[in-house]
Amino acid sequence: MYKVDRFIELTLSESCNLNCVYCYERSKSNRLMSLEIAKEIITQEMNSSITQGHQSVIIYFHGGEICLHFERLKEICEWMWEKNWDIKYRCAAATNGTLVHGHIQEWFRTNAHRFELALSLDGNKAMHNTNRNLSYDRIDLDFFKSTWPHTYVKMTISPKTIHNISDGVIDVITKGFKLSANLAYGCDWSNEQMKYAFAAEMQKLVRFFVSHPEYEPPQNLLQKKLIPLGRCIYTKETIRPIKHCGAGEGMSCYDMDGGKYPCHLFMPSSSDGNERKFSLENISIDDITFDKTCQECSLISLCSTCIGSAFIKHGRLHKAPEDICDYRKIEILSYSTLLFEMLKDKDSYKLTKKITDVEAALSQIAIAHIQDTLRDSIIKYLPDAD
Amino acid sequence: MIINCNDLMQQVNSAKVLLDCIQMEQLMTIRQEQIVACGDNDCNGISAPYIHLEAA
Repeated sequence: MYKVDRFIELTLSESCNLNCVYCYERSKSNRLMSLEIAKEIITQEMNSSITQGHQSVIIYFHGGEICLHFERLKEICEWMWEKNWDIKYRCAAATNGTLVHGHIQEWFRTNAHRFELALSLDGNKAMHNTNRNLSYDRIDLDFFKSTWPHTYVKMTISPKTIHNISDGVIDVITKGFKLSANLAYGCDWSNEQMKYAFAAEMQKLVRFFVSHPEYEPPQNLLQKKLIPLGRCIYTKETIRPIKHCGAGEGMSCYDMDGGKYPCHLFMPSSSDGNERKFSLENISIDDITFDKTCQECSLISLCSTCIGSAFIKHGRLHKAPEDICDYRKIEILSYSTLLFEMLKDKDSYKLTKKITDVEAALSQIAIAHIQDTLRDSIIKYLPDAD
Repeated sequence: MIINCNDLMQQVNSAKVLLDCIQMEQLMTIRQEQIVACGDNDCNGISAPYIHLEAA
C-alpha cells in the first residue's frame, strides 16, 4: 500500500489567453474564485489533512491560465504564507508561460522555494506553435529552467504533432529540461497512418535514449511501471488494473464556487457544460467497471486508466477500449525494448542504476511478457519489423 | 523495437534463477512505485501538474 499525499486543486478561473488544439475545457467562463472561498477551502483542507494523518499537502492552482489572475493568486498565497499551518505544504500550478514576465516573473522567482510552476511546452518551436497558438516566442524558457531545474515540463502530443515527436522530445531534453510527455486525451486517434508514424517516432526515441545515457526518457511516454507486472507474472497473481492517479483518493478539486469534485475532468466545464455534478470523494479501482476486452488484457496494469476522461465519455466510471489503445501498446512495447537495452548496462543509465537485482529480474520477466503479448499485434506498425 | 527471442530467453532464464532464490514474502514487499495524486498520471496538457515532490 502507498500513502497518498493530499493534493488540493483550486480552480482559480477557467479563462485562458490561448486556445490549444486539444483543450478539454469546453465551456470557459471568465468567473474568478473569490478570496473568501479560497480561504475557506484551504483552512478546511489543511485541518482535515492533519486530522487524517497526511504528511504534506500540495495546494495546486488550476486554470485556465492562472497568470491571467495573478493578483488573486498572489492574495491567496500571501494570506496562506502569513499563517502557521501544522503540516508541510507547498503551492504549485501549471502555466502556458506567456504571461510570466516582469513583476509576475519577479514574484515567482522570489517564491520559487514555496511555489512550483510547471511549464507546458509541446516540443520544438514548430510543434508548440501548432498546438498552442503561436506562443513559443512569448515564453522565457531560461527563466523556467533556472528557477525550477527539477520540475518536469509538460509536452502534450496532438494528432497534428505526432509526426515530429522525436524531434520535439530531443529538442526539449537537450535544452536541459526534464520532460513528461503524453498523447492528448479527447482527440480523434483512429487514423491508422498515425499509428505507423507514432511507432516510427517511438523507435527513433528508443535508439536515442539507448545511445544517450545522460538523458532521462520522458515520463509517461517512455517510462512505465513494469516491476508490479513482473511480480504478478512470476508469482502467478492475478494481473489487476492500477488506478494511475489520485482522483477521489488523495486528491480533491474545487470549482470557483467551492463545489468539490474528484478531479477537474469531473467539473461541468470539462464535460460540454452538462451539469453532471459528481461529488463522490472515495473512488477506488474497484468502483470502476471494465469492458471484457480490458478485463482480459494482460497489460491492464500498465494502461493509464483516466477515470475522468472515462466519465466524460460514458457518464460513469467505466473503462472501455479506446482509439488510443494501440498507441498505448506501442508505448509499452517501446519502453520494454528501451529498458531491456538499459538493463544490459544498468549502472550507466539514470533510470536503472538505482534498481536492485531483484527488481531488474522482475522487470525482465515483464519485458518478456510484453514482447510475447504484443509481438503479433503491433509488429505491423514497426518500420523495420523484420 | 522487437527484441531477439534468444536474447530475451537468456535474460528471462537468468532472472528466474535469481528470483527462485528469493522468498515469496520478500517478493511481496518489493516496493510499489509510488502513486502520487495527480502528479503521476498523464492528464491532458494545460492543467496537468508534474510536481517534483521530493522537494516538498
